[in-house]
Amino acid sequence: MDSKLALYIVKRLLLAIFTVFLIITITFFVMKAIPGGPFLSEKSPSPEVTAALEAKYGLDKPVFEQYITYLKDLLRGDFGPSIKNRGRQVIDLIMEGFAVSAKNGLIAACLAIVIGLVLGALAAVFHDSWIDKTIMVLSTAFVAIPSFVVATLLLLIFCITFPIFPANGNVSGGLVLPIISLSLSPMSYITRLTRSSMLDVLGQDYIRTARAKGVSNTKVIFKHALKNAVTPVITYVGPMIAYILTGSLVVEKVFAVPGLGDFFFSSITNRDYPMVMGTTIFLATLMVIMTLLSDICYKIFDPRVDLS
Amino acid sequence: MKKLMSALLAVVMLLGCMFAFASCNKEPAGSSADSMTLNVGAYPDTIDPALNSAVDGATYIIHTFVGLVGYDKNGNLAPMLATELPEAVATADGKTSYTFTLRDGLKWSDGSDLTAEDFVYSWNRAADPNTAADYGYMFEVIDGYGTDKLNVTASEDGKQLTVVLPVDVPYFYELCAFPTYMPVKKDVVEANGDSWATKAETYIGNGPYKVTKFTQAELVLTKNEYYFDAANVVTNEIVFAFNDDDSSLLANYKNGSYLFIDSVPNDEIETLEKDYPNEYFVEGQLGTYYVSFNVNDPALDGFTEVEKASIRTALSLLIDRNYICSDIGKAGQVPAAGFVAMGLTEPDGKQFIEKNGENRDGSGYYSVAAEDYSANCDEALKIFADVAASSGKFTVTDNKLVGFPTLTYITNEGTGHEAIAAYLQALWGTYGITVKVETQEWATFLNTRKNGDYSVARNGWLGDYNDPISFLDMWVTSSGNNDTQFGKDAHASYAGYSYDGKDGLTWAESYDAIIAKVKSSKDAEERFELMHEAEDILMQTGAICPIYYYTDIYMCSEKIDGFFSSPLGYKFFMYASVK
Repeated sequence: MDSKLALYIVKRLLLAIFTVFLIITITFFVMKAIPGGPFLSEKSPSPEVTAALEAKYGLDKPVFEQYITYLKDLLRGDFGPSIKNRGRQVIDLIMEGFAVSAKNGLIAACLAIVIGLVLGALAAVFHDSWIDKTIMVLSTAFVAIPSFVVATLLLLIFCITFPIFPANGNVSGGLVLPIISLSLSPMSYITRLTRSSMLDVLGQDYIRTARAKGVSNTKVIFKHALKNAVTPVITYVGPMIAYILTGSLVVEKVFAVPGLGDFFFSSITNRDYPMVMGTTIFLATLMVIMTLLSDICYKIFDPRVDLS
Repeated sequence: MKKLMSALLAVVMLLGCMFAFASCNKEPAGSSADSMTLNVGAYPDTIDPALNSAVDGATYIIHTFVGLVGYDKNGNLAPMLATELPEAVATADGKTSYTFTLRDGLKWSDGSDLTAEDFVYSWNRAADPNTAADYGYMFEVIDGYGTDKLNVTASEDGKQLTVVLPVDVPYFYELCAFPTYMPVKKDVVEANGDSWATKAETYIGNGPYKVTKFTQAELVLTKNEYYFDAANVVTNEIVFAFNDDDSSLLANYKNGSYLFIDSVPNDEIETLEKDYPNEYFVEGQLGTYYVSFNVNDPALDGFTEVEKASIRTALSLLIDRNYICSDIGKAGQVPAAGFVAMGLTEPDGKQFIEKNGENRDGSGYYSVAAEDYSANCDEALKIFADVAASSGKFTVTDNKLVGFPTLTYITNEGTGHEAIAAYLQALWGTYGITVKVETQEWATFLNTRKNGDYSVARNGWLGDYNDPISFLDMWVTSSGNNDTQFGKDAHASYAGYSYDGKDGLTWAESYDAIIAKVKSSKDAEERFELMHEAEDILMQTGAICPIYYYTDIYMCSEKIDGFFSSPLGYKFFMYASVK
């Protein structure tokens, strides 16, 4: 690694820490400003119980003091206990959910990238043919259709009408449909990105030169064209992976996958403050890391990029 | 092109491997003769018997714990860890005591001995405000509640448990069967804190099943060989799958993954009723869906308290409860003519609602018969006309109110709630009453309603045990669930209520006093009469507008035999077998 790149990474890491700190601060105060609290329910606990709970979770202290305490705990790697799930640590809940979501997400991301690149390349190579048109129609459709529609449709078709797959992500073969649901939209987006970028690259002089020199079509496409066409895809793929690894609320609900997706939503509804912070910090950190990685990948794929 | 095709083939193979990876290491679901996969809810907040206050959590707990009293195969209250239901004995200082004798050889699921001392520890733990148990107040019937120690003692040999009650309550046995009253093992709780109930290794129970796996996906229970009645537990394994997405639940039920689901999509109800006549069940549940009015609503400032009550009563009379049940709820809900739900029994075995209404004849506080609806509307218009005349603040012309203040109806998100809000808005709108509907996010909604920052709000209540007090003591001034703000702010000084032959009493002097009397009364008949009086006052305010009594819908496969559910919504599978 050259020193310039190392310096760049260090600078970016420092910036990332600052970004995450800002996110923590904003989330903490905004979260406390929303009306409602974690101990409200259709049946309210007695004032004594509420007071005991508030003391237990330190919510009886001034907000700023709570913030300082939270930061100190965080520095020690302590995300605190979940208020809703009594007796569970936020970090344990996140890690358990992440293990499931990340496995599905990783497969879905690979699928999206591999198939997206191949289909995009195919569409570009066979520009204006029926292949291109079919791919374009399908990818436009899947970019536009929201995931809850895709997931529900897949559930209806493959679990009820033709019961090929189980409707439960927790049993054998149960992850096939959630993975497909997760991957379709990013796959289509990558297809479209690759196609337009490939079309641009295929028109470049060096491709014409390569072809004139008798380089085989496959080599031209995969070695010369695709490698250069992939840069805009990288920009998209970084944050996409962060999102896809942390699970999708809709897809995980529809297919009963015990992942992380639900926590992002339910923690806010439940005003489970430590969980809101935990999920936010987790996603934010993953996001800055993925963005940093994609920027480094830029440099690898395109040495002309000046990282400074 | 050949190379391109081989590249594509490689990609396809790679994807195949990925799917194989995604599918590996999983056990099959569904059922076998020795196992059943069921669903009663999502990943629970807690399955600590003391801390739980949810219905699904209670179902998990009754399979892993058992109290002194419980429910037998027929769903009847019966002694469990106790050899029999003891007689209440009057003590020298005028209190009541119960002495339970424990069965011989009781064990925890780890094989250690269970004694009466475990109950002393567990009950004190649950009642302690520092434990912060939502249902800690369930111990308020026991002497010593609110002090450091409950008046509960174990005999030296650990075989007998003596409980002293300041006043005997008819539902004490039922309380003893409640999850909050189940014993927990002191050493595991003290060694692990709240987290003892989050891991299979430390979740030591004493019920028909023990926990062998507890993840965010499922709770796996296997038969507990140390359970005192293990011979009657048939099925070796129960898997409670966590899932709360109605469409997903139904898909899993239809393809046989789950043999039981506790919820179905609302718009599928009619189809399911038709297609699964032997598997679709609607049971009564101890609960009432209602609309609450804020008694201190600034929108009605300028009206007298009597006029406000009349306005609320008239608004309530305009509601077609049969329409709401048949066209919006669609799940066998029963139109409600009183606040205390159906299913609660009087000392003579009759239902409480069979005696509700001011005539004590079960006719309720207004008629919910479909044929009386237009008469109700006429009466409502007459009330409005009277209020218009006395207040001079609006007029009634051609069955329409002119100049009536705008009301705001708040509800949380949810198709059913929002549909009822839209119905009420349209209905009251036809009489010239403008209603703004505000749909709020759940926690915000709870906060707004609790603080009384609303005019009209959707509301619902599920009883905790088979006694009407569970529906009535929530309306005392100091209750945390007094969303209507009875006895608070301006309403505190309003002296328009009657009790004990006296008129001109405030809320505190009437309602609060009745509830206090109910809690100290030793005469069952007097208690129930007082509770009817309390409901009379409640309904006289017009601030509680009952809509329907809740029902519990579930689907249970014909493969399951020996299952039953309780009016509290708990599901009992410990005596069930799979065909």
